[in-house]
Amino acid sequence: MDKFLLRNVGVPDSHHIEVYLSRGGYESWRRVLTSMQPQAVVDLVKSSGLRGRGGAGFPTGMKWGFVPQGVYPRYLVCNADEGEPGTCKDRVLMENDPHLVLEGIAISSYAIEAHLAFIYVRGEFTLSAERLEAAIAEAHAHGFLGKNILGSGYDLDIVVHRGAGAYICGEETALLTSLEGERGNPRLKPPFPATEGLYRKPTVINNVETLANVPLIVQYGAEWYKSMGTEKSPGIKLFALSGQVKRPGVYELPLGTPLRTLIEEYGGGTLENRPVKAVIPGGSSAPMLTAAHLDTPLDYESIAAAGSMLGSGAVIVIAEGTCIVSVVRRLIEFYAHEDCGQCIPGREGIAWLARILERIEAGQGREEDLDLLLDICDGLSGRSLCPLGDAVVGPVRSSLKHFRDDYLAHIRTGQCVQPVAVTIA
Amino acid sequence: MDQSVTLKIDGRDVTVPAGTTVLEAARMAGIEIPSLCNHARLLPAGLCRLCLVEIEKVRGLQPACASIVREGMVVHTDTPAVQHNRRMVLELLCTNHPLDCPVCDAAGDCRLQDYVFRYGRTTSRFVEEKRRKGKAIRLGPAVILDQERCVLCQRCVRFCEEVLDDRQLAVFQRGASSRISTMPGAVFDSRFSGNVVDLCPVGALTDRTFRFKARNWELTGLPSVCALCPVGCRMTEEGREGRLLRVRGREAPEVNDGWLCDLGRTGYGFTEHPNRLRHPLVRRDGHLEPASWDEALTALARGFGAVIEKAGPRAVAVLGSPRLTNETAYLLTRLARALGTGNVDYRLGTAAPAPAQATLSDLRQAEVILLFQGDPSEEAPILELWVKQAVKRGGRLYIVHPRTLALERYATGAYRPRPGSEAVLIAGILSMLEQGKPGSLPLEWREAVSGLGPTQVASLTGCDREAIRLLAEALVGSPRAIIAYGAGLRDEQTLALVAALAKATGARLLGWDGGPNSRGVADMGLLPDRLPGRAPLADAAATAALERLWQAPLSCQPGLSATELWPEMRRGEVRALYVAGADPVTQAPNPQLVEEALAHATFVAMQEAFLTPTAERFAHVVLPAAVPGEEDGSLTNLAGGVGWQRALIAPLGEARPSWRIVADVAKALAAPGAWEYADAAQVLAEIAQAIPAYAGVEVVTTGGYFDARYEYEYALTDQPPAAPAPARVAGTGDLALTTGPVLFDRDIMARHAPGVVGRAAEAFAAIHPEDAERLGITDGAPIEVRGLFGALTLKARVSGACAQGTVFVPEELSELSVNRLGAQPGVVVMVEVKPLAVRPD
Amino acid sequence: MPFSEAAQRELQEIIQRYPDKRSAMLPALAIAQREQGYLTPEAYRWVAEALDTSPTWVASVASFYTMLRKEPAGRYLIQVCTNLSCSLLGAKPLLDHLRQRLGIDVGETTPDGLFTLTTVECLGSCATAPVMQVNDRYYEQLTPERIDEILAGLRREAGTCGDDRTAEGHS
Ligand SMILES: Cc1cc2nc3c(=O)[nH]c(=O)nc-3n(C[C@H](O)[C@H](O)[C@H](O)COP(=O)(O)O)c2cc1C
Ligand code: SF4
Ligand code: FES
Repeated sequence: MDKFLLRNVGVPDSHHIEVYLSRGGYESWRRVLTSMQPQAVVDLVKSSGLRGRGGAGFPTGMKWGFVPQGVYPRYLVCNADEGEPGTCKDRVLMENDPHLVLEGIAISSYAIEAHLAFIYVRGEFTLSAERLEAAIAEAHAHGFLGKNILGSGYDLDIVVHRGAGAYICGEETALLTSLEGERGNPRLKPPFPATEGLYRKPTVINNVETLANVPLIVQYGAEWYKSMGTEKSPGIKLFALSGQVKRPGVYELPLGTPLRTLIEEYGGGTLENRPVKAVIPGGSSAPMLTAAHLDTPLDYESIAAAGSMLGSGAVIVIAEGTCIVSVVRRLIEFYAHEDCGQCIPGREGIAWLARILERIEAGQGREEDLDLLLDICDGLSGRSLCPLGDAVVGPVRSSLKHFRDDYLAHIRTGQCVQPVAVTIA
Repeated sequence: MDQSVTLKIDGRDVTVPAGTTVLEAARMAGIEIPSLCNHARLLPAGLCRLCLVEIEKVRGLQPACASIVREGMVVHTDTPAVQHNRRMVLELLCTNHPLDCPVCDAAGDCRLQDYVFRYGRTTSRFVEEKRRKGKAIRLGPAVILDQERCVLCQRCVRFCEEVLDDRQLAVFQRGASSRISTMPGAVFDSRFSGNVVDLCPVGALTDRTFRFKARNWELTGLPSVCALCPVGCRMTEEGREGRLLRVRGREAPEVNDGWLCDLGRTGYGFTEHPNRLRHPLVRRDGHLEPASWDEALTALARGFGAVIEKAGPRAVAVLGSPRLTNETAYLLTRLARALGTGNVDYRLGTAAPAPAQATLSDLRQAEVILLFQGDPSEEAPILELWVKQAVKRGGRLYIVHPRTLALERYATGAYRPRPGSEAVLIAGILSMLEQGKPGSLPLEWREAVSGLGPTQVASLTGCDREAIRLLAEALVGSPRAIIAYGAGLRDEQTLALVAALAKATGARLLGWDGGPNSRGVADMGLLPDRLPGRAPLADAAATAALERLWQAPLSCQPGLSATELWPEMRRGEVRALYVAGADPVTQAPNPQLVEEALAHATFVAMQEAFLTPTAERFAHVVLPAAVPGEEDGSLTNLAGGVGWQRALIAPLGEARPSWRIVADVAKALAAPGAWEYADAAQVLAEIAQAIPAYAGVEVVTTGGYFDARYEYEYALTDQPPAAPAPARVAGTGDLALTTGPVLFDRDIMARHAPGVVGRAAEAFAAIHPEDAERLGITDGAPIEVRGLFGALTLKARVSGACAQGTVFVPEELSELSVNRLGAQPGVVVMVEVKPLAVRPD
Repeated sequence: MPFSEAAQRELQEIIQRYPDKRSAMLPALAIAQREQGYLTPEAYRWVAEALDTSPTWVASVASFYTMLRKEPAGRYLIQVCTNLSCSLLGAKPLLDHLRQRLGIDVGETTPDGLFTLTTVECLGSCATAPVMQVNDRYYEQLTPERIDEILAGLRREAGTCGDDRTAEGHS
């Protein structure tokens, strides 16, 4: 299949503007500036059916349309916090094709009439941040950013803002709070960022990959975009395949590609060809699926119908022989570590889940603990201050549904009975 | 704006103002929605998730505290999901909450306890060990923190942020490790720190002086008002077994809105101080010795009687104080006038504040505030919060003050006129107004200010001409401008000009001096040239009415002011003095003169709670007076609001309520008229008759207290202001003395309270770095400040906040009397400052 | 002067980028950390002053973010990802290998001050797991042999080029 999002990845010096330009870069930006009104760009993206790649799959054009009329300034924020375990696709774009990301940001900023855009890059991604900053300097030098861009009268600056180690800052309101110089605390919604976001001004937040699609849509058109993928999940998506497969990696595929194709054709199948035990199809908070779901198409609707979510498109494969209790314990430990601490369900609930799971893994569990886990999940999902509560319950509930036996074995025998292939740290 | 919205909560129709939260709407309908983090005076935060409710057509549970009502909204607060959530949240909280309720100060007054009882599970499913965090952390001088009890509602943090705009408390770490703290090594040191104790819904934050003193259910409480500064904060006194153990803020949007400063909160600890006077004292053979009330009153009657017999009533003078209640002040006035003397006053170097034209709510919403010669932070702390609030809402603040105030960072303009040229600045603005729009001032004012061209004003004051113009413009341009003047304004001349400026610009006046009840005491007529109600002596109708009420002929001769008194006393014209609540030896501007005068007096009687230097050296009779907390009485705050101070406990020893002492003295002196009052409320009832302005005021017994407020008519003098000139200069030094109260050292009683001791800085003098360098003074070094009547040894505080060429010495220093230096209204005192050799030790 | 003039200038320049100077909080803390190796109350005061807020607030913000260190680390801070994707490909044995090679436990620093070993949450490098980060640099698709090479390389680098704090280059 042709590559679009990853078309420059692997090309030597792909992060330099000369290479980008030689491969047709910034043509979409030029076209937008010279021939399109902002609203036309919004309409184009709307009609392409592009959905947010950050996790929720929210239609991008519709999100842009929520910005209230007549309120300025507005800001565009590119969410490059990429922290959800399993997810590592945005980094590939930023390191290898930073200009594609910038071009996407530029066109999107123009569409929502913002003159200042921020890229919130997770703190650990030093190389991404450096490449983006260098690319911004190049783009300025070539007149693609700054004042009166290409004589259009439109001004735009892009600021790279580096995080400092906090997964929760990937959540859009926490990201804004953090960008304002505060602790990365999520905020209550409403107000939504589109009306009251950064500095209380209308703000659009989009994922790196989402924005990287925009120049392509301008270049090839909405119809082209819709010709790929499924009706409700059109277009292409980056899938980060990780875990126990032979060829983990970031793959570009049309939405709707079966899970099995990704794992077997692209990933080369599982390590040692062990049977698939569980698949987490959309980043660590997506409910687990089982081998029975391998033929599910990777699109938002089908994965939801299977009881999980496509999320960020990060597919983690767990082969037979791995203890699900330890997997879930590890993930919940992560969430407990990353919880902001503001709300009681998040702060106490996740920590308690983690401690119960630890206890069960250590062989000290009781059967009633399983109900307790589910009850705590009920206390979290839909009730925490931000969507983290929902993220946390995914692995717990789904594992109790599909892999209850792993738990019971720990509880009843006091130890792990898996033919342990790996120890989860 | 004032639209109302109707919604349904649990099947009931509820109509509330638009903008109300669902939580508040439910409360108004009598439906309790539990919440830990929500607080009416803080912004909604939605942190605790205890208040989640179901709202039809909205997915999932919604926080009632942060959901705004909409027309037709249907809310359910009692569904299985809502109940499950409450149980769950409480259970989650309890997983790590220590079970030390038996030793927790909050027990019995703890939201968590109440909610667990009402909504919680009875058994715990938590078998893990509880998380350990810090216990008994001393955050600062007033507050102790127990991190394990903390529910992280962040009320304390939000208070620091939203109300103080001073982020001294914050959450540290994150997730389950989150805890409240200051920066490592930093002290939670705010004038308002104690409020976080009131805000804390559990026992995580406790009051250092109250800890472990009592269980909440043993306390009895009375609504009262604070008597320590002119704001008169509404508060609740709490205590048991005859001890006043704690005061807490009381909701009163028009005054302090529930907040208290730490002086008010901790200042009442003086009631039990060992130095309190417990019985009357009578001087025998040069020594003050304990005596019975009868003996003391007899001695007093003899002393005054002899003077009146020999030299007539005008040889008697009465000196009150701004700390007196209205009842005491009123009776003192009545006593003096009934005895036939007009020598009554309470002002020791201050000007009587003019009636207020603005309320404190107005201040909170002001568009323009000119803060003239006042430092709210030290003089009337709550106003600091209100000024900040006004600025936060978009108001502009202009400051005229000799020092850089804490509030200056909120100011649009700050002016530091040369000491003594403040009146010129005001006159300059008036003249500018007239120039900008001829005819805007009354003719006679025009003459007073016409000589002052902008260039001249700029050169006399040292203030930038353009900046002065901007200030004038701001005042004229806003319908919601307030001129707030403070304790630095001490002379009537400048006050008249400020009043004129208010009148000319349409700005409203709000003012205070250093005394807590100056307004009330002046209203009560404790002035040589005024009757109660501030009526002029020449007001025949007012005189007649009072004579009828008092059943006695009045002396309507103007008497001597407290300034004029001392020379007359030294000359032997005034021979007997009755002092209530004042300490002229340390407070009057000219202590040398005062001492000489008192040495000449034939008879001096005083009523006081502590033995003051004046009493110790000069009094013949000292009568022990009750203190706030021990006596009922009303106080009129700077905005004209009258509050009722309550006696929670009996006066210490043989002390008597101050108003009663005056009545007892009147009876002992056989002053004309009836002096029988059952209680202070009866005196207040008489005040309501005597002073038309107080006519509406009464003690509402149903609620046990009253909170009447009364607003004066626009009642400023129409006297044209005199043409100002820079103030007279006295003294030979080269630095101009400025002075003013310092919060924790401003009250001669409160400074003895255990919670206050140590909070005021050691007696200091502030000096500008350049002056310090020139004089060879380093920060913290001992220096000598020599003024008109002597010298003080103080600790140097080298600070850019002090204008160059000036030195600031706090007005009341625990043991030192700044009046040695000779500060007096309308005079610039030049003092000499020099370093003292440090003793090698 | 605890913070260099260059740092001061850099911070002022960064502040200019934002509509509100508080936004420079994380960059400011990063500069302070770079200057001193870790954050101290002095750093909090420096940042608070520049951003017009209170040192307590700055400290509170800093305490939220794991990359902001409150205590000194060795010259090379080795952070091994132990999150799911890395664990599934053997992060645990690799961590044990590092422990053994360095002779220290997680959270400790070698006596020569060269290495500090910690674990870290997902580094966003799951498809090239297992990974670790040494100062700013990612090392991916680790094996015990790779680790030995990397340690040897770092030791060489430390021996030769003075006190350069960050490893150069990236994988
Ligand atoms: C706990 C949590 C973590 C998140 N982390 C990320 C992230 O790292 N990157 C991202 O793009 N979106 C993340 N999101 C989703 C964002 O909140 C937001 O929906 C997204 O950035 C919107 O961009 P999109 O519409 O282009 O997808 C996270 C959401 C939650 C609840
Ligand atoms: S100390 Fe009290 S007020 Fe502050 S967060 Fe904790 S429980 Fe709330
Ligand atoms: S799990 Fe290790 S980098 Fe993602």
